[in-house]
Amino acid sequence: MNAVRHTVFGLLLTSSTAWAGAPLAQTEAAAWLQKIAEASRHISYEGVFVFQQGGASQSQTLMVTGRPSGAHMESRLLTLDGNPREVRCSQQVSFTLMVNGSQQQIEKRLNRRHFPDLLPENAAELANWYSISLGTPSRAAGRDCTTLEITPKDVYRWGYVLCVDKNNAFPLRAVMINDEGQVLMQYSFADLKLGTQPKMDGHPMPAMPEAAKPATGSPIEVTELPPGFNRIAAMRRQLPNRKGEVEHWVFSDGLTHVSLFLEPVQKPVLPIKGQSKQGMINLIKRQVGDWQATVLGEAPWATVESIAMHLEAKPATP
Amino acid sequence: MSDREIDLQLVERVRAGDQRAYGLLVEKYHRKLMRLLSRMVRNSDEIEDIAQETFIKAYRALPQFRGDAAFYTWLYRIAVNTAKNHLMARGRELPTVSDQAMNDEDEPDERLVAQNISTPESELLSKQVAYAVDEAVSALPEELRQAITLREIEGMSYEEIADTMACPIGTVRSRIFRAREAIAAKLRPILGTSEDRRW
Amino acid sequence: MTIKTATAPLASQAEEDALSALLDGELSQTESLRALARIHSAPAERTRFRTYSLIGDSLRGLPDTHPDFTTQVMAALKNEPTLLAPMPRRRERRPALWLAAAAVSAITWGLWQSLPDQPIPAPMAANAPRPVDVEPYLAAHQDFAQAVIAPAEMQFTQVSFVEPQR
Repeated sequence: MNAVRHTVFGLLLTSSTAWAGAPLAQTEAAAWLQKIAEASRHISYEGVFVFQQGGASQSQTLMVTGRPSGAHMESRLLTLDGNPREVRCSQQVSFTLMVNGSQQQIEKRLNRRHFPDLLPENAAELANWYSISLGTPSRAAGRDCTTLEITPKDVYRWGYVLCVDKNNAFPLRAVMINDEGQVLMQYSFADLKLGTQPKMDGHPMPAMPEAAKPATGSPIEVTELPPGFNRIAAMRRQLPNRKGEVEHWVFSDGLTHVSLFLEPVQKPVLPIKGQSKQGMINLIKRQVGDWQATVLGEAPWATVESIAMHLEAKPATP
Repeated sequence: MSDREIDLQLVERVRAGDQRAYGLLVEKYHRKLMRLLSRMVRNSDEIEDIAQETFIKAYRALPQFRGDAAFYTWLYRIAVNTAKNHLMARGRELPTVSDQAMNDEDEPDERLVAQNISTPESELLSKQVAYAVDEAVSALPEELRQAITLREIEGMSYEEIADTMACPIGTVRSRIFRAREAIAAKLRPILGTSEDRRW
Repeated sequence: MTIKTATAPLASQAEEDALSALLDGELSQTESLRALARIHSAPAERTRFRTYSLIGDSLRGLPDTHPDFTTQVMAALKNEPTLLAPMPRRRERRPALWLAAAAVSAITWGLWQSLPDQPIPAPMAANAPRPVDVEPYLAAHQDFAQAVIAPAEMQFTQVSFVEPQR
């Protein structure tokens, strides 16, 4: 199966008939991944990137700035089209600012990661679940780049093709692809400057009440997760534009993320399966005990199904 | 043939030597592009300069356009790049969401559009055009008004409109055409003859 | 009511509304090419193109603030060399890619079917969730995972799950 997968990705990536490079040894792969993960986390940058999902039919353009602040990074994302939306992250806090006409809305976020921090801080681990090979060099955002193919070792993740700066491994383009080599999602810098002194203006970090509380010890248990996946977040929160609170858990292997939402049922839940175009996003909604579980993420059906089907209502304590 | 394929056909035509075909692409996209530039740049003269520079750059870069992105996406990236360079060259900071929010307290997004107005003459003209279109649409018979609205504002396909209006697709096509012609007739006195606008 | 027809005479009544349909992306390949050819050869058709484009933008709230913009750009381009750079033929998908893809899909399905639970898809009738029902979950997930929020068109099917044997 791995040979077949490499064939698919190899043919996708090379415009000539040459095969892509063979997969790197695990240690070399881990080193590359770590290098890329660190590239965007220790250098200042300002740029504009385009995000596309579902082919080029929908795209967004965003401005991003990042700069080191002590041992961490401060960053700012700003949408340039559509409704104005700004995300700001620092070591202490991350929040979203949305402007709707004359109204401003600020919401606290529970994650600091966004493009170009595509890979997790501990990226070397990914080499357990993805094999890495080097593709033909290319260019992106006016820079020479090295191409890396990140190929899942099993059916539980989508693959990526990364173009990173030849000199410093900074991610310039990231393309998420499925098992047929079709493009699912793409981030691509249109313009990028590195090592500048960007200003982080905009709204000062406000003092905010907690947006999310720790998850309760809810009476739902996950009996099994796909290889490499761990629960990386669990909180009680409100969903956007919805009243009431839900439990929101996030499972991830470091690159693929799947969310689980739990809420008490009022009436019996009919199980349904949902899928987006080309199957990039998969969703299951089902009832587990007295709870409605909604599992969804940019992951193959197998992953979402596995998580959703290994949820159990814990027996009630006497 | 989809909208995107039409753009590709026009690009191919330009690349085959027909410069005039580029005018159709400029005509099609310049208003949308200027609206989006107004999010980054507040001065209307600058918006016009950046937009013009964008279209010229895009023309020169057409040999590199591969057609795997939509033409407008490709154009828009060039515009953002050009605007950024423009702002950087003037030592200007990039606009922040909050700045806009603070200055446009009482006015919604339309205010950003209003700042596009350059001369009093063109301001008057664009208001006349907007008014004439509105008036023409209100004067349309219900079935024509519904058809053109579902198409241009809701973005529905002819098939979807046919479902919504419970009529054959051929009727949808005809109604939209007649609506456009009726509105065009009201615009003709304002826009002048075709000779004035020839390129 | 009487509608004024286009100022320039057209080849036939049947083609009168072709430009309008072309702009809506509703013509076949052949008809589209024919309509495009007419635009390139008839100034009156270009004027109609401009007017229809203006009407659409106007309805969508984009005013015509710079009515001479196109003329100016085209005048500036007069000094540019005429392009002669024909489009490269779009590469055909290589058959081998699809064979490999089919093999990969088979493997995916095989593994999936070996899981203890067998969803039996059924078309959704009245219980299909509306997009708005799913948006909050998707938005919350995307905000966490990548900070960029992008609505997605989802399709739903009803499934029956066979509870796993313990």
